[in-house]
Amino acid sequence: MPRYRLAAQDFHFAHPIAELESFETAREADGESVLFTMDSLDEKTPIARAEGWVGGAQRIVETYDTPRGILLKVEGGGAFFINRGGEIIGAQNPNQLDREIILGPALVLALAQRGVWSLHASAATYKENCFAFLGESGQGKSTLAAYLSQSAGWRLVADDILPIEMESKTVNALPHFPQLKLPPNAQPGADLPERIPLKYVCALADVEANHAPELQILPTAQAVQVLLGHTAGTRMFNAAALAKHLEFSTQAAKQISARRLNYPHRRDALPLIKDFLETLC
Amino acid sequence: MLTLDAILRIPAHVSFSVVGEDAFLLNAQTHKYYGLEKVGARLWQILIEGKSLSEAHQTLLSEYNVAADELERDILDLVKRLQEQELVEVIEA
Repeated sequence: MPRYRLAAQDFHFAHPIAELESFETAREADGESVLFTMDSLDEKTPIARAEGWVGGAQRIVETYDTPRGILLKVEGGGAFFINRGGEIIGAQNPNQLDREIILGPALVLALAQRGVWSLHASAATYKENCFAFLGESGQGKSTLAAYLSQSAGWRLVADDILPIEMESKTVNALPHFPQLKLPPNAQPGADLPERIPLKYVCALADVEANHAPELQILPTAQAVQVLLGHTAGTRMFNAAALAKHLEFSTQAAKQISARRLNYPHRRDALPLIKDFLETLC
Repeated sequence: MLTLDAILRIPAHVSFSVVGEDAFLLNAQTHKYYGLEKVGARLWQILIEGKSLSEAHQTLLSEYNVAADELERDILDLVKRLQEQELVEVIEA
C-alpha cells in the first residue's frame, strides 16, 4: 500500500501508480490495506453528471455523495472512492485509463476535500515571484511557461495543473504535483520548495496575431471570476466543496495581483511578455 | 405578480460571498456562479440582512440618486432574474 506526497499533502492509494514513483514516501504492508470496498457504497446520492476530457476522450463523469466519502465514476473506467478527508483514493485493479482517472479527476476531488484547489494553469518563478498563467487548452500557457523557464532567472513550476491553497493570508502554489503532459525527466516540482507564495495570476486572453502583447491590471472582482472560472473539476464538487471554493476564491483574489495578459500567438511576442513580467518584480 | 410586498427567502443551496462592491452567488444545484455589481450587490446585502423588498427599496432610495418608480422596476426585474436562476424563492407574493 503506497503512500505519496502530492501538493504538500499525504495520500494513500490502493495500488502503486507508476507515474507517481518519484512522489512515493512510504509503502505499508499489504495487511494494512485502507481500501474501501465498493460494495460498502450502495447508499449514494448523485452530486453531478457532466462531460469532461479524461484519458484522451470526452467522457461522462459522475460523482456521488456517500456516508463515507465521494464516489467517482468515469465512462469507460472503473469506480473510484475518495474518503471524506481526501487522504485515500481507492480503486480496484486500475488499468491505464483508471490510472489517468486517478491522476486527473480523482486527485482533483481529493485535493478539494482538503481545501486545495487545482488551477488550469502553468506557472513559473522569477526572483522569488511566482506567476500563474491561466488558460484553456490551446491558449498557449504551456508554451509561455516553457519559454520563460528557458530564460535566465526563471524556473518552471507547473505545466498544466497548479494546485493552490490559502495559508493564513498567503496564497501558496504547491509545485510537487505530477504534470501529466510532461515526461518523467521533465517534471518541474521535485527540487522546488513544497510551498511557494503565489504573487501574480495572469489570465491569458487571445488576441489577433498582429496585436501587441499587453498586461492589464484586473480589479478584485474580476480576479474572483478568473479563479472561479479556471479551477479544475468544479462540476464534480458537492455543495460543501463549492461553497468552500467560492469562499477561497474571494479571499485569494484579495491577496494576489491579477492581470489580463493579451497574448498574440506568435513566437516573437514571448520576449516582450517576459520583459513585461520581469518589470513587475 | 411580483411586487415590493413579496417576501423572499434565500434557498439552502445558494452560497454567496461579497467582495468590495460586488457579490458572487453560487447555485450548488446547478454548479453555476453569478456576479452582482454595485446596486445589485447592495440589494443582495440588504436582503441577506433579512429585510423586505420594500425596506430594500427605501434603503436604496436613500443611498442612490434615482427615481422611486425606476428603482422599483429595477429591483423587481433583478429579483425576477434571481428567481429564474433559483437564487431566491418568493415565499409570499
